[in-house]
Amino acid sequence: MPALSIRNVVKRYGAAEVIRSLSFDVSPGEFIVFVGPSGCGKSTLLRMIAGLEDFQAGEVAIDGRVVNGLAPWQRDIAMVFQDYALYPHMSVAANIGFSLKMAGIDRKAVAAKVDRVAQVLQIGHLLDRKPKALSGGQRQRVAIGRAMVRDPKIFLFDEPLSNLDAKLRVDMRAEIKQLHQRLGATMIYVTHDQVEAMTLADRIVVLKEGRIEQIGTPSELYRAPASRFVASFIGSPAMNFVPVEVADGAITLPGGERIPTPSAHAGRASFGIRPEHLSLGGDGPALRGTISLVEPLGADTLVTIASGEERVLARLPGDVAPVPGEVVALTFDPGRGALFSVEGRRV
Amino acid sequence: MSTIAGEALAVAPERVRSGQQKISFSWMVWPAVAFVVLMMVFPLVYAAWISLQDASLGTEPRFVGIENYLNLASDPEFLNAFRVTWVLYGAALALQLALGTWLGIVLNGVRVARHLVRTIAITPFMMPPVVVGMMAIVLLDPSVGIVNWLLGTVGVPPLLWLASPRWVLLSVALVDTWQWAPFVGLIVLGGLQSLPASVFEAAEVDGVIGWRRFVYVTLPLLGPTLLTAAVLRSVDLLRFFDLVFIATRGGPGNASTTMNMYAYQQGFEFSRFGHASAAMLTLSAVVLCTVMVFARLRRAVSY
Amino acid sequence: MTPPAARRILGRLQVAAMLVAVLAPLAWMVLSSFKVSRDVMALPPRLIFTPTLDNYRELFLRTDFLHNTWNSLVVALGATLLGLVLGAPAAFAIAWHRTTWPATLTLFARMAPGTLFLLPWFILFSQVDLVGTYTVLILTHGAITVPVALWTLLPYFDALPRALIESAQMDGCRPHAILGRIALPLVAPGLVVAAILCFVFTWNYFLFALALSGFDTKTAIVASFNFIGEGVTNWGALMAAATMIALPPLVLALLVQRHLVSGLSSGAVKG
Repeated sequence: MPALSIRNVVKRYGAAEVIRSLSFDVSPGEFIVFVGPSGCGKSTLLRMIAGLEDFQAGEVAIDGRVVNGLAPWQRDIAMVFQDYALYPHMSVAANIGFSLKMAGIDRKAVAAKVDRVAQVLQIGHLLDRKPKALSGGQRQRVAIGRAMVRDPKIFLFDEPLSNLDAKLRVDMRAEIKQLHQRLGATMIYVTHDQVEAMTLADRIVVLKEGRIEQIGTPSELYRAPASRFVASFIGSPAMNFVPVEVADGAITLPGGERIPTPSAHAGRASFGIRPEHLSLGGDGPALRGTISLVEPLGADTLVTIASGEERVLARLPGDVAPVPGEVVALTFDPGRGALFSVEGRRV
Repeated sequence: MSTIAGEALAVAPERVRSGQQKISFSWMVWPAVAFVVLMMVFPLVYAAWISLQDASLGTEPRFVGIENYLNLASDPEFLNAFRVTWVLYGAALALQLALGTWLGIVLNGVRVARHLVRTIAITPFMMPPVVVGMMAIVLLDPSVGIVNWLLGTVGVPPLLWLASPRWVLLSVALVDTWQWAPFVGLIVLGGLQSLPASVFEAAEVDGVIGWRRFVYVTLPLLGPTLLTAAVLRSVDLLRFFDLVFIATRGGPGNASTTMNMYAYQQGFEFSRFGHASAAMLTLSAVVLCTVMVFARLRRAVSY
Repeated sequence: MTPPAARRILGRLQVAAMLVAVLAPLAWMVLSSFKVSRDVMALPPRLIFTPTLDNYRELFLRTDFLHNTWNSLVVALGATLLGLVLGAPAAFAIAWHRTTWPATLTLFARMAPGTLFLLPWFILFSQVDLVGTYTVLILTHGAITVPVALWTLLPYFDALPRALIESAQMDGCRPHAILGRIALPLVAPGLVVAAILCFVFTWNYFLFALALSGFDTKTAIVASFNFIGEGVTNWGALMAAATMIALPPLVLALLVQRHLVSGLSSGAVKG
C-alpha cells in the first residue's frame, strides 16, 4: 500500500488552475522531492497534503485512508516550515513537546519523548532556551525535532534550508539525509534548488505550471529527461541546446555535420548535450566555434564557445588551458545527446 | 478610512486567498459583528426611521417622509450650525496641521531627553475633555483668568474669549489645538523617522536647504502622513461636541453651536426627536463624505 | 546658513517653548487644586502660597466623588473587558482571513456622532428598564471599546507569521486553542496598548454616562461636569476634581507612550 497516494487533484484560485489534475504514489520510506521554479505549485501541493489548503477535485490518501475532509492534526503527518515557525514564547522543550501536550499525553511521557528526540538531534543542552536565543542551524534542528517527536507517517518539508547560509545548508542537507536513513520514514520535501533535490531524493517530482513534468530517480532525470524543461532544470551547469534539422534518421548539426539518430522525428528540433559530455580534441561529431570565455574552477575549467548567435558551454578537465579567440571543436558521443521537439518534448 | 484598513492588511501574500484555507476562524468575528450590529447599526437604522417621522415628546409619531430634512435646509439655526461647524473645522484643522508639522520637525531634530519630551507631548490628548474644558473656563475667564492678566502685562487689553460671540470659535479652536496639535506632531515625527535620511542628505548636496528644502522635499514626502493626520482629526472636528458642550454650551447665543451640538439640543433639550435624528444623520453623511474625499486624496499623493 | 551649534540651540528652544505651552496649564490646574479659593483667583498669581488639602477634603468628604470614581472604574474596566473579549478574536480572524468588511463596518459605525446612538439607546433601554445600571453603561461604552480594541490589535495580529498558526494546526491546536495559546500570548504588548486605550477612552467619555447613568451609577466625569453646570465658583475644588480625573488616564498613557500614537492612528477614533 502506498504511504501517500494523490489522485487527480485539482486546485483553482478563481479561474486560475494552480494544480491541474495531478496523480502519483509514494512508497513507504521513500524520500520524495518536489522541485520546480517558483509558482509551479510545489508548495501548494505540499500544503494540500498537509491539510492546510483546500482543493476542488481529486483525492489525497495517506496509508490507504482518504484524508480530504480531515484537519491537519488528524492526518498523522508533521511539517517543517520554511521559517521554522517555532513558537517564540515557548522554550525549545515546550516547542518540541507542544503537539504531544495538545494530544493530551501526560507530562512525564512528553518530557521523556522530548529528551529522546533532543538527544538524537544533539540539542539537549538547548531545551530551556527560547527560539530567539538559537542560531539558524539550531532552530532548524528544533523544527525537525518538533516533527520527529510525533512519529508521523509522513514528514513534510517546505523549503526548510532556504534561509540558511550556503555552508550551513550543505551541512543540514547531509543531516536530513542521515535522519531519513536512520528513521526510515516517508519524507516529502519541497525545494527550488535542483542540487538539493538531486542529493536528497529517492525520486524527484518535477513540476511546471501545476503539472508533473516528470517523475523519476535523480539519475533517470539526469540521463533521460522527458522534456527540454527537465533537461535544463536538472544538472549544473545547464544542458546546452543547439538548433538542428532532423530528417531520415539523421541529425544535421549547425556546422552541417550529420549524425545518425534512432528518432523518427522530422523537421526542426533542439539537440541537447550536457557540458560535461563535451571534450576537446577527441573522436566523433563536434560542435565548432571560437572560444569566447574561459572560467577555471580548479578541478574543472568551464569553456564557452561561440558560433554565430549560439553559445555552447563545456566542462573540461582543469589541466587543459584553452585561450580565448582560439577556434576549437568540442566532440561528443552522440549516444549522450538528447533530441527535443520544438514544443520541448523528448523525441 | 478604508485606506487605513487597506494599509493594515497591505501585506497580503498572493497565495493566500479567502475560502482556500482549510481552517476557519470566521466564527470569531461574529460576536463582535453581532455587537456592532445590535448596538450601533440597529440604532442607526432606528434613528433613520425616526428621522422620517414627526416625533416629539407627548405627540403620536406621524410618518412625514423627508420633511424633517427639508425643514433642516430652511432652518436658520441649522444653517448657522452648519457654518459654525465648518468655520471651526477649518480653523482648528489648519492650526493643528501647521503646528503639528512644526512640532514634528522640531522634535525630529532634537535628541536630548527624547523619552521625556514625547511623554509630555502625549499628555494633552490623553486628558478627559471635561478637564480641558474646566481648565479653559478657569484660564480664559475674562475678569480673573490668568491668560488675560498675562496678556495685560504686555499691554494687550482684556479679551472676552469664550464669552465673545466674535472670538468664541477661535478660542475653542485654540483650546482644541492645545490638546491635539501634539498628536499631529507625533504622527509627523513618526512619518519623518520613516523617511530615508539619504533623501535629505541628497537635498543638502544639491544645495536645497532651509525653506526650499521644506517646501520641495520635506512637505511632499510628508503628504501621506499629513493626510492620515487630517483624516483622523477631521472625524473628530466635524463632530465637534465635547469642548463646546462643556465650556460654552453652544453660546454665547448660538455662536459656537456646532451641528452636533444643535442636534443634541434639538433632541434632548427640545425633544424634537425626528428633527434631531435628521440633523445627526446629515452630520454623519458630512463626516463620511469628507473622509471619502481624504481617502481619495491619500491615494493620489502616495508615491 | 546657520552654524550647527546655533541651529541645535534654536531647536532646543523651540522644544522648550512647546513643553511650556503644554505643561503650564496643567501645572496651573494642579497648583490651584492646593490653593484656598482666595489664592486661586488672586492676580497677579501667587506662586508662593501655603498648600492646603481643603479642596480635596471637600471633594471627597462633602460630595459623592469617591463613589463616582468607583463607578467610573467599574464602567471603564467593564467596557475594556468587553472590548477585548469581543475585539481580540475578531481582529485575529480578520487578520487571518483578510476579509476586511467587519473592520470597515465598525469603523463606519464609529464615524456617526455619539449623540446619534443616544436617542435610540435611551428609548430601547428604557423599555427593558436598564437605564441607570452598570450594564447599560458598559454596553454603550462597548460601542467605543470594541472598535478601538479591534483596530488597535489588527496590525499586531497581522504581523504574526502565518506559518506559526499553520504549525499550531499541524500540532493539533483547535481554533480556540490557536487563539488562546499561540496568538494572544504573542500579541501581549498589543493587548496592553488596546486595554489602556479602551480604558482611557471610556474613562474620558462623558456623553453616554451623562444621559444613561443613574444617581447611583454616576461617573466621576459626569459628576465633575455637573460641578460646572451648577456654576460652582469654588475653583479650587473644581481644579481638585479635574486633577483627580485626569490622573488615571495620564498615568496609564505614560506606561505605554511609545505605542500609543501608532495605536491611536490605526483607526482609533475617540468618542
